[in-house]
Amino acid sequence: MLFRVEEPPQPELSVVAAAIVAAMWLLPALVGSGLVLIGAPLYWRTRPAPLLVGWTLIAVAWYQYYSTMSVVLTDALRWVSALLGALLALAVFVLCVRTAERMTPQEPETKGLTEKERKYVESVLRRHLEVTDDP
Amino acid sequence: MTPELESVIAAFAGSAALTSLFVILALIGTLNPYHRPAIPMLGALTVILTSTYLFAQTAGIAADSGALRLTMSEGVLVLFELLPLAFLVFTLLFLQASFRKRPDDPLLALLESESGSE
Repeated sequence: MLFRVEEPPQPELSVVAAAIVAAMWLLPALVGSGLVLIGAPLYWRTRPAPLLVGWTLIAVAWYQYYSTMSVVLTDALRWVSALLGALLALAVFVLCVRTAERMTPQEPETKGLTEKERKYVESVLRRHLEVTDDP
Repeated sequence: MTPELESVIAAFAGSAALTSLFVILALIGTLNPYHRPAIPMLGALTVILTSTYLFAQTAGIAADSGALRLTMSEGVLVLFELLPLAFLVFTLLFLQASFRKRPDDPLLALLESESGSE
């Protein structure tokens, strides 16, 4: 089943409610952003119609955001705190990857080609570069 | 503890736990024979469990699977709160892209002047 019919339990219910509220401004924001990217002169060619519709949708998204959301000082503190939390998680990940790489034993140096291998590689290169032996 | 401070700590723990969950999903998605995901996976799990413990201590609840679900939900909620900030940055970048003008190319100018003189 792709869609749940019954209501999810708490705390997932509050997440679903927040997603629905956010979708009111996120959907026009996403569609508008896509249209602006299509219409903007990124490769020196402007498409006015998608650009205009895109900016209208972006304006609608911002209007929708400010009419449904109210930002207070505590929110700014939460944002900073959330960014710090994400940074901490990423820093731990980077340190763990570094540790794992340091613990990996280094591969021994590869031995040189044998005479037979050398001749084979040479013939392949000659064929691809279309070099003839004749001067 | 004030509710504001509790909310700030919950945002910190939630976003750290959710980011680590994304890290674990990325590690699973990129598994290959040359990959050594054990240590990063353990690190991410440690962050998730520590964040859940911190959240449970702050909220005064038991550090069990319910606390883990609450921490993750808090992470998603705070992510929704951060989206407008990202959108603000993107709006400014889109403004810059929409009013972009082709820079004067000295070689093209030279070519045009030469073709004009002939």
